[in-house]
Amino acid sequence: MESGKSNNETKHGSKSLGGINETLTSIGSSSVLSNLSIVHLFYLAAIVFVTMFLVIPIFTLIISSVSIFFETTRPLPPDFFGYMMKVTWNTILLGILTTLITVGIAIPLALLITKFGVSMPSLWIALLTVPLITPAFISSFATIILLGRTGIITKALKLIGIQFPSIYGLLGLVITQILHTIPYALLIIIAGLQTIPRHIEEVAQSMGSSVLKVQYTIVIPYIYPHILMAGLMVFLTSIGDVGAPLIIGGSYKVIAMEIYSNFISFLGDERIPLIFSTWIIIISVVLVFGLNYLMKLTNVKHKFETGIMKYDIKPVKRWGTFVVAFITILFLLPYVVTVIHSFGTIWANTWLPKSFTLKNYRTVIKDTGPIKNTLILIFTVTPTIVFLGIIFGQMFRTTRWFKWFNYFTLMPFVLPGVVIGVSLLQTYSKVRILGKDLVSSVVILIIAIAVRRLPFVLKTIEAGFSKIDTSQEEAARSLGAKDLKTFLSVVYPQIKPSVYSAIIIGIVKVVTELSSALIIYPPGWQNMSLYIAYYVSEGFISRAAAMSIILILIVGVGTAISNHLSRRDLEKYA
Amino acid sequence: MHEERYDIRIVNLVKKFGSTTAVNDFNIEIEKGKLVALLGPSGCGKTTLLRLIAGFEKPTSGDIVLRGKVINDVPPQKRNIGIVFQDYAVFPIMNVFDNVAYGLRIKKLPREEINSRVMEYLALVGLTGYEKRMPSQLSGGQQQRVALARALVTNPDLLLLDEPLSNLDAALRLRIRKEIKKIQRKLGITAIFVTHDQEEALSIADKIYVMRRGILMQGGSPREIYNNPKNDFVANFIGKSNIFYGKVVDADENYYKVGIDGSFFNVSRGKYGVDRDIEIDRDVWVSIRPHFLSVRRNGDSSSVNDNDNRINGNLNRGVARVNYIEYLGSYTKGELKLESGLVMEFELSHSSTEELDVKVDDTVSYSISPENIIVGDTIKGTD
Repeated sequence: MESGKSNNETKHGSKSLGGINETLTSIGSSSVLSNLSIVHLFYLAAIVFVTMFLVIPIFTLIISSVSIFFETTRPLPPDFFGYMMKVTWNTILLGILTTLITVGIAIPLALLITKFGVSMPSLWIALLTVPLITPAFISSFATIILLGRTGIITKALKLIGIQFPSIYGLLGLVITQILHTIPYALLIIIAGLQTIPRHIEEVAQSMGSSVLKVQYTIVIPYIYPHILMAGLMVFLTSIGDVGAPLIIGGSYKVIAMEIYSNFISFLGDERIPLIFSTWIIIISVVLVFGLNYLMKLTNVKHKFETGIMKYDIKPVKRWGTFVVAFITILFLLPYVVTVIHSFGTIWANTWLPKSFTLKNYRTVIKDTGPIKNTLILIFTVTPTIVFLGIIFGQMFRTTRWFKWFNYFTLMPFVLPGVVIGVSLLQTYSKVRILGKDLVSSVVILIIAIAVRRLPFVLKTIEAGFSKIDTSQEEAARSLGAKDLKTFLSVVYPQIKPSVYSAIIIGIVKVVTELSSALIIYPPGWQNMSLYIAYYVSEGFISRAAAMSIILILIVGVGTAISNHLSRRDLEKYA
Repeated sequence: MHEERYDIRIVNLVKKFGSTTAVNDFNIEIEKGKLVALLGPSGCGKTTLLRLIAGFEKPTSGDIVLRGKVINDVPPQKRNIGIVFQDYAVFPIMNVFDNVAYGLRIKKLPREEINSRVMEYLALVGLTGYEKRMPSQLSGGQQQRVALARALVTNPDLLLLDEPLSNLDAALRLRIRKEIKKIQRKLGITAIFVTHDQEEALSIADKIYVMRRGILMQGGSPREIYNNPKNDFVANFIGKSNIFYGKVVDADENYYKVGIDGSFFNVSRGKYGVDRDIEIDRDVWVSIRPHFLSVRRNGDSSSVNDNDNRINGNLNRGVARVNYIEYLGSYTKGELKLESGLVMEFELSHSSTEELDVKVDDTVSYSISPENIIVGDTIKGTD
């Protein structure tokens, strides 16, 4: 209706404005001015949402943290910079160690799985990506069960005379983050390896280069951008996490944790979260732009599809399978232990829990609050971000004018959840809607999680969009279809599979969200992640385990349903 | 042992992928310093054959002999074969110099020698001054030159070219084709050139092997292949041709008479294709090249043809209707429908004095000399 009306108006005015309109369209921008439609209202709504709840809060946060330095009435304590440097160094050390080890493990794993024909490659990939659907802190407390003072591996090592060092602190953090970030690194590097045309490696071989030498003179340099990307993801994830430092960090102070603890504690200095948030934003942004520059230098575009080189070397195949299986088991051990623990009673100083029971599950389910809250968040946040993702996806590919806005929508990729939480609370602390404080209603939690998880969903949907040529829409439009009609009839059916994947990712990312929720949970709105963290900190390990398993099950069911829908859809179009 | 005359011999080579046979009992011998084309439609097994020679695939049976040594089990690294792919396969992460130097560095040559060799070969392919460029800053043709220099710099025993020109635009294709041929001559390197483009093969190769569905159809010099096709597939694939199927209905010592769907043609014996007699009643294929049809406007046919007493009486001639016509500057091509209903393509080059001036639906007279019709009884099909 609306689009029809505006079209008529344009026709009307075209006598006087026609010349200008033509000039504008001929400049090359799409016909935004001459053809405003309902689609543009959606664009506007999406932009307003991100501006209000991400851009403005972050800038407010930065401005107020800068103003702290100019305030003379209440100077920062003299040892503040020493403390800040120490915490910064701790954080960066954690990030670097995690990144080097994770990427160092992921590269050979990816090579073995994709190029050297190990048996059952998709099984290993599936198992190694389990951490993607679990919250990070599950890895932390699983690490405690395994390697803590009374952990079973600690115990086993003691038997052969090795004293495992305390895991509370840097060691535990690094182990946890490696466990948690390996899927990111692995998947990105595998994706990179899929882009190397077979001929490149064959040419190198025919010039006398051995298979091993081809890997490090050609293959690894070729996927340099992917390796950088993987490293960046691992680094930012590991420095932004609060769940792990909360559970296993001990006295090892990192930036994200200092933001959190000073924010929630009455004894904390309320200026520290602001300054540290800005500081971590600066670190992240510098890193992203630096790497972006490096990646541009090495970016490789290959338009030919010749398939990838697969090697058939019997011993490498056999030993490779063994190595991959061993690493996979090692990485899955924490999750196996979590399952065992969820059915166990007391588990200390023994190889297995004293006895097995369903009591943990009963206790955990009795309090329906967290499960209900988590489900409510799934059903509010996921549709919101998938809808926003579709709008932004379409906007970024059809209108050149707003491409730069993508820098804002993608910002949460690199910003720790605590920073987003702090910025929202700080900006909207005095806003009231319907007679209630915004910050004490569930709306703010929904907004926080939506803003934080939007980039993941958006990236997935953009991948679907990238396969559709805009000429299809031009064809539809030339046949007389309006913008919205064109989108719904021509474009949307083609991106549907990506929308389903986006829903899966949305569910996973909403359920596993902890850090922003830790900062802003309105009274009575603790979700499952928060409860798990609470159980762990209170020492109810088996209840935490049971809750974690339920959480993984919810994610599993959601994933299965979306998968089923998307398969049904694919069959329809196949 | 005497010095091998052949640089590479392929003996009874078979390659099967599951139940499909990509290369079927293949035998060829290539002399030193020759450029040989493997020609065939896509999926004919020519690329598989090349990959077998390079060592990227293992033969199911048979032998590949390089300079007198069976190399079936030699890995690609040890074969000393240079290869150029159609997608260039230039290492995008290295500049031009490093690309070309890669093979020399693998061989651990001293730095000065690497430098001079790389510069020498870059000069050979006309890329002096481009050493520091990254592949992304080069055009397709330049990337292909880098690939060529890189393949040649290590002094390989054999150069393999896998459709090296098919990603280049038409004008560039002709230029690089010429350059490849010149460089190959200059270095005296033995080379195998895989292509699906018959014109490319004719222009560049000393010898052409026509392949189809893994089987060798015919091998020979471009001239032999063009003038003496051994079967209808080769006749159709090399050059342009009207291919018909018919029967020999009569024969005397000089001519066959071949019937095709109610049209009859006199064909000279012995000059082409068949080196033995074809019995009467035998099924044959018939190839008539479009440019061997002479077409005149109806009415002025008598002036030329009646002078030609040598073939008078045996000349195939008649009237036909013009079905379709294209004017192409230096020549005109089109389609004739003969009285019997047979449809035939023709091509007429314009001499300085006359141009064929006919329109669709005009009636014209045509003639074909019996010497210009090729027949054979080995029928393979043309697809």
